[in-house]
Amino acid sequence: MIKKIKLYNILFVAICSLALIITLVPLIWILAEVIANGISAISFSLLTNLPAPPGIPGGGIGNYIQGTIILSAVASLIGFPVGLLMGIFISEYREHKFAPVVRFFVDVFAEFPAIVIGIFVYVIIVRGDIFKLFGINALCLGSICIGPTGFSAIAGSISLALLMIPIVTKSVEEALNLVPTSIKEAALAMGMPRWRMVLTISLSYARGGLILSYILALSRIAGEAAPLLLTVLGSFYWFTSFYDRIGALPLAIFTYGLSPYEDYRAQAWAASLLLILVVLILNIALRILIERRMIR
Amino acid sequence: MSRLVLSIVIVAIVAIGGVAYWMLSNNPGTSGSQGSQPIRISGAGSTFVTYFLQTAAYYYQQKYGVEVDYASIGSGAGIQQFLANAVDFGATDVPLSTQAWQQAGDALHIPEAIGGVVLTYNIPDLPPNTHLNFTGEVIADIYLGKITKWNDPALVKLNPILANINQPITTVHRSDGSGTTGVFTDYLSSVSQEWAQTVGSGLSVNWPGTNSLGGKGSEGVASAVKNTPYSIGYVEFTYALKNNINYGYVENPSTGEFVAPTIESISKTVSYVALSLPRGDQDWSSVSMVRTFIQMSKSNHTLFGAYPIVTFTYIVIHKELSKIPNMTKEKAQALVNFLKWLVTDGQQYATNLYYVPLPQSVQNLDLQTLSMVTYNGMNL
Amino acid sequence: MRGDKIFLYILLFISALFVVIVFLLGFELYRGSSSIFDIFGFNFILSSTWDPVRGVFGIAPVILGSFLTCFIALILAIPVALLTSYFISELVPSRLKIYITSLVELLAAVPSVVYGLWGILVLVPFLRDNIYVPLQSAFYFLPGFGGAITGYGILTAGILLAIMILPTITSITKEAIELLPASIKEAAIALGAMRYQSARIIFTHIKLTIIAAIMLGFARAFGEAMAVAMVIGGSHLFPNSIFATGYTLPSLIVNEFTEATSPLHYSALIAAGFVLFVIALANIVVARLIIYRTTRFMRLAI
Repeated sequence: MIKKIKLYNILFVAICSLALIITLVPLIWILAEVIANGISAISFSLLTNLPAPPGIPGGGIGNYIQGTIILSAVASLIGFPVGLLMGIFISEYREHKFAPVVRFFVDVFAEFPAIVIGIFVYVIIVRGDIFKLFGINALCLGSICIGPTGFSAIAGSISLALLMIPIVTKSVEEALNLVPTSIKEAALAMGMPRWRMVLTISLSYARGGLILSYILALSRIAGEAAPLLLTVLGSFYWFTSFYDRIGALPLAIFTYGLSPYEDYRAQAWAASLLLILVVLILNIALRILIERRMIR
Repeated sequence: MSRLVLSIVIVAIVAIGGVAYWMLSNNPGTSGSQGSQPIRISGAGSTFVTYFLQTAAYYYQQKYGVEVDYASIGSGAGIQQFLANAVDFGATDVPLSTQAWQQAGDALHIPEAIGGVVLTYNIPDLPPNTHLNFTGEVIADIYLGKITKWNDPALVKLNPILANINQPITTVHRSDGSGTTGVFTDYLSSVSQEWAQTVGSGLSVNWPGTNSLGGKGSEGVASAVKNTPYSIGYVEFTYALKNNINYGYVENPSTGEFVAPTIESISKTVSYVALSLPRGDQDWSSVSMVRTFIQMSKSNHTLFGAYPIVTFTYIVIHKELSKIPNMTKEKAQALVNFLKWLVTDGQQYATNLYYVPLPQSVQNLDLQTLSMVTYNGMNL
Repeated sequence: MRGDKIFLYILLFISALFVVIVFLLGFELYRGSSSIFDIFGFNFILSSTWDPVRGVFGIAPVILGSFLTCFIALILAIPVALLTSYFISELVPSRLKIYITSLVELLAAVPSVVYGLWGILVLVPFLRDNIYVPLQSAFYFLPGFGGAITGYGILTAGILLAIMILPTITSITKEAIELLPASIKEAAIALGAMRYQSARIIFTHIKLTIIAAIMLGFARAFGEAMAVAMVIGGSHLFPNSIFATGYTLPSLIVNEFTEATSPLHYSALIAAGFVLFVIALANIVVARLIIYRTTRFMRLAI
């Protein structure tokens, strides 16, 4: 009788460990392939050169690295503040009747496949249909004009920013929810205006969580290719202007991966290695932050 | 503490505002000068011509500093993005349809290269460099799904070596809007009644047959054929050569010979066809080297050594370039200069990549077309 | 007081802007697809002809492809995820737990293009040569095992998706298990339950979270564009074998969007995006409903 129980238990543990192995095998396999193929292709010149047409040696992925950095930076500049403010709103002002509406819309938007956001930015900014809707060529304020841009870096940044906003908002909300009400009430009781309390007390208490939100969102958009495909269309040169096209690592991986050229495929592996390293470092930073008492 | 936060917020807002102002005012459309930044031209379209265009652009940038960004996304895309003014120029293997041409209003067609569409296949059992023979009807039947195995009698009749290969054929087609598909289906429609009636020709068709794989761009098709045993696909000639995939000889309907795609055989077709091309700013929708050649073959049986599936590939631009967002006079001039170079000096890069250089008459026509381009009404 | 008002207005302004953008997105999708729906109506969703030459568009096989791939992904991922999460939370010594958890979460952090790259260059040849071909030679007489084997296709995409959503379901379930009061687990042991019985008890308690995790996994799989686009093989026909190629809504858009050959084609693709949007929305609403209904008792009890 006990033997049977022991048998069943061992069987169950065996099945569970099998499940764990099945879960880990693909990860280890992917990492191994990326590292093996990527390392053999990586070199200093690869990281600093511009791409060359297939068959011409000496091509590199330098501009893709630059592109990813620029796109992520600009997207963060737009996306993080907006996400932060919205997160503050639905957390600190949750009694406001508009708050649940905003929360719902953020949830809806968060579930959006990135490709649909790409379509949206393509239609609105790249093609400028919204301008045609109002029958104008561009919206001008003196000499500064906003109009359709064609495929451009700014369109790509905006699409990444849009993608970023719901991630940041939800994460910020979670972080702010953990601020103990007692502290907030104490500040209010001592006569601090509410806005000041939010900006100083809540934000500084949730400092770690905010950094977490940013890192989470950043590691997500650094690897996104779908919206970029429809908004920047890739480029083979260094960055020139926000109204020109721009390259990016995830896009390059997609295009090079689908191509039949061996040298391009090797570069795709190298770019993947780079991306995974970046994402890895960001996630490790995340983990260290969590460890050091900062939230979660 | 709150002072600190407040000042950070204010600095951030000012910074963002400043960056935004800088970005918006750097819009070349408004401020005019881009300073010392190199001029960047954006083009997209046909994957057929990618090898040529990207290589030419690479050398052009080294010589003249102007950066031409060409995205290989398929002729259909090239046309659409051109019509939407999302790029500076489009590239397509098939001329604009009358409807598209009318929609664009002032589209100019500039043929910049000539190439051939070849049938590539991957049959592991065959020794490398085996060139199979195909007739038009057989190719059509394969893609119609009527010939499903490599050892089908019709194929074996042309290629006895296939007799023992009892494997299903996977047909690879373009999943995107493709000029190569346009040329290929033009060919199939010309050689097979059934194809013309059931499927027709176009940049993207309803591919019959159940064992069909879609590849994105000629790159995708080449990739798919290379990696899928017993598959067959159609790509521009260079893709077959550069990727070491076997390609077939196609029957010349005029003489019955099975012709290998080479620079000579493609040039022969061009010289036989000797199309009288319209003026650059007219409607080019009826121009098709493939259709004309097959039509000629019905009555003329002396067109020796010509490879049948041959096409021009075109760059399309607006005559009045100021329509395009972010266009400046400098950029427009740079675009015209690049295109002028491409159809003349740039042709030196064609033969190495197995494209046929433009005959002198076509070069002259192109230069004439390019002289029509204007920016804000002024000729460039 | 005045500072409060200004601050609130700033917050409201930004939030309202965001809501407007979401509305704009829905509106643009609707507007862009109106020409297709005007011409085809519901037939767009029900018919299977995709003929850009003749201007006939139907995405039934694409919708089917989307659901099939997600179905395959869920069938493969759910049992593995549940067992893995139980294993990690209950059966792994706590020293190792952190490392293993990090490893699993790393899987979630890999960008989808890298999954796609690995998919075409490693998974496809592997599945084709080591699994599909032997499978076909063993079972060729069964219906659905015929057809050409390319290695790409719905099954391969489903497998890749399963790998991608595994960490999502696993980590959510694992957290839920860890949050359960120890009393439940102790009670099970006290009653002499065998390991698998304890597992069953625990899972019953966190049923709600498991459902939420599954819906999240479904949403992720349904919306995945890049990785699927790279391995699905692109076909507008209904699958006729388990090795068949096909399309899903997001991968269709990736492959054909910038390359639409006519305004109608373009509109058809936006309409596909619209259908995707509607289904994603429905998923959220259903998830919310389930949570609402099952927590109703808890709220009533209070």
